[in-house]
Amino acid sequence: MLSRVGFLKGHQAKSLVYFTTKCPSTTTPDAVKTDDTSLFRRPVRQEPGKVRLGFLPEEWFTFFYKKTGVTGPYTFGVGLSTYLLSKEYYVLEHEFYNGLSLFLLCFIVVKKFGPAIAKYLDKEIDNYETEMNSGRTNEKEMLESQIKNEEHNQWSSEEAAYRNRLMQSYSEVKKRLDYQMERQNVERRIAQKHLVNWVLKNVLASITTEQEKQNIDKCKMKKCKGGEDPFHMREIDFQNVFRLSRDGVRHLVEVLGPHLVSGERSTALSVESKIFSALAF
Amino acid sequence: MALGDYPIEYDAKKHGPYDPARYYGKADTPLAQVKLGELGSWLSRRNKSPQAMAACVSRAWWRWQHKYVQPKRAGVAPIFQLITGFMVFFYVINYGRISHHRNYKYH
Repeated sequence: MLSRVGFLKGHQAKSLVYFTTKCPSTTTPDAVKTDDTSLFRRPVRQEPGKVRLGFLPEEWFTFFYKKTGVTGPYTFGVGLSTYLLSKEYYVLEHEFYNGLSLFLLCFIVVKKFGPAIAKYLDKEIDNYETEMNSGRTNEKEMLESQIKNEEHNQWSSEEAAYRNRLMQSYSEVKKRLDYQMERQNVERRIAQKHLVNWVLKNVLASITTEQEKQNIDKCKMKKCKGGEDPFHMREIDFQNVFRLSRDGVRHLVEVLGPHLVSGERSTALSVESKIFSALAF
Repeated sequence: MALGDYPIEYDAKKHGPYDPARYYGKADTPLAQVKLGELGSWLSRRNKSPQAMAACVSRAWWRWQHKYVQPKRAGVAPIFQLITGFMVFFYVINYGRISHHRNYKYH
């Protein structure tokens, strides 16, 4: 039973495939065209029909072409009029000559004034049409300009937002970089300080009392020779040598200076040197 | 169908705007393509009521209007066509009188 259903289904599917390949879809534009173009053809304004000799439709001439060639219609016309005249179906009474003069007048007017009048009328038609369309075209132009304006506005606002975001990201990145730089600077400073402290501590620790004494003696010798300015010594060495603080010695120099007579020789000792040598004894 | 109504076959939904130059019924073979042997049957199929004839003339008139008078840059041709048409028409209706003005006895 089931197998039969399956078979039927398969058969149906096959036939469906066949159907779809065989028949073009009804929704394709081609099918619609073949069915309904004649029904849905809207009337459109035509171009003026072509005429010859001023008023005879072109089709009446081309009708002859297949059988007679291009001279056929004229031959036919001349033949027909000859026939009508010779049989006097067309009678040349007084009205004919009247008509002839009227025809001549019409011919001259058309040939002489026709082109100018046509030009003038064409221009009038164009003016009329542009006037009729002016409201529409103005409206269109206005709307187009509005669209352009709107687009520009949107663009500028988007551009402003873009620049704002760009600035924001720039400042954020700069902040982070500044932080990194500052951190590195601080780390380096601390490391340097630590190193200096460590070296100083080690050096101070390595100096024995013996060495210190020797150093002080050396310094004393130097001072006595008056080589260097003792004020440039370290405070601790200064006190060791002169038993006073620098400020104290300065005060002493100020107080004693006016009372000490400075020598006139070029090698004479200055006031400070005298006080230093006295203190260092 | 009263006077001034659209043809019965015309359906605005199906055909769009009304075109007075168009025949909305079922199209038969155009006269120009009818073979001589079929002419009798073709004529017998025509609707010869005065209404249909008037409609036919009206369609022809509008076809002529669309082709020569209504275009945007129509020329002077339709005026001459009308004049010629009137000339022929009046010549034909006056032929009985005009024929007395013949100049020759034998042709």
